[in-house]
This record gives sequence, structure tokens and C-alpha cells, in this order.
Amino acid sequence: MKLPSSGLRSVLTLLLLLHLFALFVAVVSNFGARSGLRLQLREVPGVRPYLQLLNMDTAWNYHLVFGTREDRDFHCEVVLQPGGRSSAAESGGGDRSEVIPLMPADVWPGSRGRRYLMLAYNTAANAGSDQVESVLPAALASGMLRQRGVSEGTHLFRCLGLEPASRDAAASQRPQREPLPRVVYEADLLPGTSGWEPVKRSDVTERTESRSAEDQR
Amino acid sequence: MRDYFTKLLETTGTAWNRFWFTPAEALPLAVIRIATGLVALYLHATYSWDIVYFLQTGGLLPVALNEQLFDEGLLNPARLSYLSYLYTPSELYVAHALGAGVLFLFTIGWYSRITAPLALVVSLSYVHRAAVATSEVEPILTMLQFYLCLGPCGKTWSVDSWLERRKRLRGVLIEPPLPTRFLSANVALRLIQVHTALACLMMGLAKLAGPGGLEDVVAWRDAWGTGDAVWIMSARPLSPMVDLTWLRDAPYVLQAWTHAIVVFEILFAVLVWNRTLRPLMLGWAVVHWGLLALISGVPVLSVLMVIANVAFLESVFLRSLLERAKPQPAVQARCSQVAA
Repeated sequence: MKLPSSGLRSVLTLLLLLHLFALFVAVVSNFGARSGLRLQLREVPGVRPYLQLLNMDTAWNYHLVFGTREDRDFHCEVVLQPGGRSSAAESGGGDRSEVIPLMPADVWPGSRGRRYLMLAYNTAANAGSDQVESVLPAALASGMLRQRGVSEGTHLFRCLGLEPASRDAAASQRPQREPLPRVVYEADLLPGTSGWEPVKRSDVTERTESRSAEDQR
Repeated sequence: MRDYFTKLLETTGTAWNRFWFTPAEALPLAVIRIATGLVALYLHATYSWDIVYFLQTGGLLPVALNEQLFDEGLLNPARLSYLSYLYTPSELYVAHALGAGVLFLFTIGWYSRITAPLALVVSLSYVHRAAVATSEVEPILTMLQFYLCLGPCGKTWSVDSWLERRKRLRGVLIEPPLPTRFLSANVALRLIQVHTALACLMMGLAKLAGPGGLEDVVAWRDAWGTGDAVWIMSARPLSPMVDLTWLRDAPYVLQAWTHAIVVFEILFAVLVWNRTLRPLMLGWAVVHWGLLALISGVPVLSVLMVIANVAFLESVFLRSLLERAKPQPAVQARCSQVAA
């Protein structure tokens, strides 16, 4: 076995240890409860920019599902309100409301659809966090309405969670209707200085979409 | 006592040197380069429909979005992307086409020492610019691309090697051929191995750990513990690649599959280092990732994890596989006859 010179090995060992340390920090600071020490490790000079630059600031803890509300597929849409009206009664649909889905119906191939699902997932994940919950809806709604050429009125943005079918219900052999979507985030869209500004409907926490609204869609 | 520590240091040093600094063949890296390049090209191509809708001025993802969402007092990651400085559809389409060209050249192995880092820049630019649209796939893709930059991934099975061979045949190149084993190839392969095992372990541990921070713990059923996880993945309305909800009548299959996923991800990280068990673990990995691709909603993640596992294959084994895949002389002769 012919090894490189000891000088080269020393340099490489140092670089390897630095890289492995950065990976260690990425894992411990992104996984589980974050203690003070674990967060302080992120502040070691150079570590966070290095991880962020290389897209390695993650713990690779891909659980896929957890048996929680996050397991749902999410879907975002803008409901256009003719005449700028946005009362709850009108938001349910009706002949005059038009729905713009975030993800096109014929989206192909799969990885393209996954991006739209991730946008909706992140919208749902931020719902409830006062600091950021309206940031993504504002950007998405502005883009969707601009694409459609809508520049005025008051419309409705909402993020729906689509439940996985329950196994017991599916196994019962009775004809089942699809599980109803649950409204995770809902906001009125008002024209602002830099696009559309979502104003969250304060009475909405999380509720099941009404069957009539679902049927109309 | 002193002898013990001297011996410990010597043994550790020797093992470290053997692990990281034994020169290795570049063939596994070349295979990983081609496969990773194809995946990167595919993901790049899937942006073609949406790049303007997402990234143009007034699109779905304005540059300021990352700053607002991931405010850690650092530079906005989107600023690291060349796409953040392009605003019109024509600018974006030109950059997209050039990016596709770079990824293609990286895949075929043309000036790999240059195109590999450029391909990484292309992929990272999309990740940083549209961070909020990324999934579990991108960190594995960019991890592989980063390590390919460190090793001689274009030394074989590449346009570079084909051009070099042609020059030698013509007598243009008279320098002796380079050695077939490279220190940098070993470092790159070892890093891929370590990182892949770590990622797999973390995936398994995350499933065991549960979500944490639950508001309604009483109502929560641990999907990976009770064996429901595979059913939940299969029953999501939009994510799965194929409809496996007919498995509802086979609860034991669903539960066994769920537990097998966790067991594999934990065991792989440990047992793949054992030479005797490695073939078994790699075979299991192909089955595991193949089946998971059907229901996970991220089939490309499965593809990338299988590609990363190539780093664990011996060059001799890989060469014999590739030789077997080559057309036999009789077939080649027949093809030439037909062509004539």
C-alpha cells in the first residue's frame, strides 16, 4: 500500500476533520431538541456559511410521515371573488367564484408536481406562526394573480390539507367519499403597494371544509 | 499504560490512513457521475415549464422570500444563486439552457475537472433560489455532486478518456498513461460512503424519535411504531407514485413493511461496513429504496440513494458488471453487417 507523503496526509486529515465536524454540527443542530450547546456549535466561525453554501445544513432526518397533521398532502388555491366581495358565504363557491389552483391539474412529470406540493406544504407548516405565516401566501398569491392578470378586487387565498384515507374506513368495503379537505390557512387578499397582502381570517383555526363547498369545487 | 496509549494511537493512525489514503480506482466515481448527472439533468428539465412562473420578477418566488422566511441574520441564500440576478423570461431561459448544457457535459465527462464544479454551481443555484420548493431530494443530489468534484470522476467512462485514448492511438500523446488508482478517488468515495451511511442512519433515527413538540400527545399514534406509516404514505391523495391502497386488506404486510423500513435504515448504517455483510445490505438497499419509491412521494430520493450506494461496490465487481452489459463481439459484428 503506497501512501502519500506525511505532509499531504496531514493537510488532508485537517480538511477532512473540518468537513466531518461541519457535518456533525449540521446533524446535531437540526435534529431533535436544540440545546444551547448544540446551537452554539452552529456559531463556530465559518461552519454555518459552509453548510448553507453546500446545502448541507440539514440532519437528513427524512421521516416521510409521522402520524400527525403534517402527513397530509397540501393544496393551495386562490378563490377569485367577483366584485371584490369576500364574505365567508361567498368563499364557499357558487357560480360566480373562480378557483385558481397553485398546482396545475395536468402537472407532469412527478418532480415538477413535488415542487408545488412543497410550496403548499411550507405554507401549511408556517400557518400559526405570526412572524412568517403570511409571507409565502403573499408571494404565491401575488404570482398566481399576476399570471391570471388580476390586479384589483378582494380575493381569498387558502391552503387545504388533504387527509390520507383511514385504513378502517377503506377496509369497510362501503362506498366511501374522499376525506374532506381541511382548511389550514385562509386569508383575504387585498391589493397592496408591492403585490397582494393576505389578511388572515382570524376566526379560522383549522376546520373541515363544508361538504357543499367541496361538491361545488 | 503508556504502551497502551502508544499502541492505540498507532493503530488508530494506521486505520485512518488505510481508510482515507489508500488509492482507489475511479470507476465507481465514473458510474456515480453518469447516474447523478442524468438525475440532475432530469430535475433541471422539470424546471423548464415553471422557471419563468417561479422566478421572474413578480413570479411565485421573489428573491426577498428566503430572507423573510429563513432569517438567521445571514446572507440571503438566494443571493448565492446566479438566478437571483436574472429577472426577465429571456434571461432565465438562456441561463436555464446554459445550465442544461453544463449538466450534460458533466454527465458525459467532458473536461470533468471544470464541468463537475460548474454542474454543482448550477444545481446549488436552483436550490438556493427556490429553497422553499425543494424537498428531500436536493441535499442528496448536491452532496453527491460536491464529492464528485473532489475526485477524478472523468478519468474513465467519459469523453475525456475517449479523447485521450484516441490521441494515444494516433501517436499524438506519447506521455505514459496516468496511474489507474488515485488518492482523490478514494477520498471522494469514502466521503460518499460516510455521508450516505450517516443520512440513512438519521432517516431511521428520525422515524424512531417521532415528531416532538406535539400539542395533543394523547391523540397521537406513533405511525412507525404501530406499523401504520406505510399505509399513511400509500393513502395520501397526491403523493404516491402508484396506488397501493389495495393493501388495506393485508395489514400484516403493511406493518411488516413499515418495520422493515426502520430496521433497514438503522442496520444499513452499521452493517454496510462489514465486508461479508455488505453485498447483503446493498441488495437489501435496492429492494428497500425501490419499494419506498412507489409510496414515498419522492422517488428521485430513492434513485439517488441507490446511486450513492455504488460507492460501496468494489471496482472489480463493477467492471465485471459493465463488461457483461457490453455488446458481445458476435452481436457487434452483426450490427456492423446490418449497418453496412
